[in-house]
Amino acid sequence: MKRIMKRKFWLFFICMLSWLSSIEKLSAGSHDKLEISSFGRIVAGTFDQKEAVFRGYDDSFSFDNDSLIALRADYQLNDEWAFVAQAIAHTDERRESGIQWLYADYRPNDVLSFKLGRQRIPFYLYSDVLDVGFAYPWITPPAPLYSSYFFTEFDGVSGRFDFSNREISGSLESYYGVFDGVLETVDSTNSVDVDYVYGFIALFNVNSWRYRIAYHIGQVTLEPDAQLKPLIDILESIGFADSANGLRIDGAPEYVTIGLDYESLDVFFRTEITNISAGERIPFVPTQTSFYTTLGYNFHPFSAHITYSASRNRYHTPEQQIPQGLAPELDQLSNTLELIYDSRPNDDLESLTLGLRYDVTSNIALKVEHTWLEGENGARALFDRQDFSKPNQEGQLTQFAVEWVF
Amino acid sequence: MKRLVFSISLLALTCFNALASIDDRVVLVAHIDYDLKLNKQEIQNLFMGGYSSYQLTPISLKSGNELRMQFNLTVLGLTEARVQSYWSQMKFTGRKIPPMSFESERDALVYVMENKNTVTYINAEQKVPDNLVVIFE
Repeated sequence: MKRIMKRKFWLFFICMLSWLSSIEKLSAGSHDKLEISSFGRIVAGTFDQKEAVFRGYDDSFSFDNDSLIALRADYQLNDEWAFVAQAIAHTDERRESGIQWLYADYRPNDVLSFKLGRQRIPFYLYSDVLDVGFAYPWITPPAPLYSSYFFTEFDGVSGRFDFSNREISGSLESYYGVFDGVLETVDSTNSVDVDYVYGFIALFNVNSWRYRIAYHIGQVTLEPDAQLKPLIDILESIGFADSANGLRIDGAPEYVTIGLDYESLDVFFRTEITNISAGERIPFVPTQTSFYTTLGYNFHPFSAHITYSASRNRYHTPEQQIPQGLAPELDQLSNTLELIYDSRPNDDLESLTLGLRYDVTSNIALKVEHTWLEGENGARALFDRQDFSKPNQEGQLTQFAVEWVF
Repeated sequence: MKRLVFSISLLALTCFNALASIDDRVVLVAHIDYDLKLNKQEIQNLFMGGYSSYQLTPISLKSGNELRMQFNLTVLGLTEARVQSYWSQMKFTGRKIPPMSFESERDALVYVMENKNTVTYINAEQKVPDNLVVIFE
């Protein structure tokens, strides 16, 4: 209830400020010290399945899952220092509304820049700008890849070095920070504590091609599910500490991502591939490989795309520590543990999307998108609610969107 | 008669192509006191917010301006929609700031004439002011 009130407050607050800022812009110059800008999206969609639910979409027509509005204030103190705040309000109650970016920006010269404060993690090409639908061709970025992270923000410092010569330009970027918050997954909400997270991102532009290589690592501790907590306590109390730890999410997943992007007047091409690995320390975090490829065609003011995406997840199962055949209680404990490991959700999913974008003006775009989804046999496949009468989860998602930036 | 129609058609086509090519050509002028020639990659980098070792500041025109569209198409090689998408990504992640932009070509040119180390684009048909240097054509 408290969360719904908070979301409503942010929705109302940002709508009012966006409206006021649009009036203000009629008289304000574009290079004032204080610049207010905003972005938003209204997304409607429906999923063609009776029982299954995907990303909040069921067989009714819904506006509640991806619509949002955000407001940004940039205050330029002098040539070197600026202060930035960005607040967002989601219609989806599962997503956190409130301050998303809040940082001081320091640019001592033309090649170096630093940010200090709350920022978003640039895991993938668009993951720090996921809410700005105007910036990318899809309505929903390819779910098999863009659904795969524990948290989106951090509090810390980031730095960037820009370079260029006659043939090549680009940047080298790094960040370090911490995060305490809430992790929303398809079927649970847990508090998450990130002791540290850091990463390196290299970006190169050559002619119309953009190459991106990134590495991220974070020490994540996730509060155990309420159902698992008693079992963890029992295992610890009788000396099976390794088995107890195997039920916790406490470790440092690593992300390696490679991206390639081509853009010309007529066509565009984007692809990203990522590998996420937590090693053998976290049996509940699978090693995941996922990718997407988008091919697009521009016929101004329209652009169309076809996108294929897939993910493959494989869990590590630790060796059983509890001896069998010594006591019925131990056998039961051992069987329970095996059952838990066997029921770990598999999110293997393939998707194929066709989309059309119409740029109505320089800051408003309309989009329509149709996505075919097919999960692996027996896999949860990122579905919020599964249709257990089917061997695999599948369905078609149709979405319409209005995207804007002001 | 057929030859006449063919000749007129050829002439019309030649004129149309010539006009089209004149209209489409954009040159970049800088307020500097030395000779400099940049290639397309360097111009793209400069106007897309990248670092320029020449210490030049790009000056652009507002969205909707015809010359800006020509510049986007012929020099940046991007549609206006794609340029706007790019800037929305850069702006809302705090990475880069779009170039200062003016409503009219005249205002942009006056600003460049009054400020050293600035660059803007003009139509190739336009006379280049004396204190500016053509760095790309």
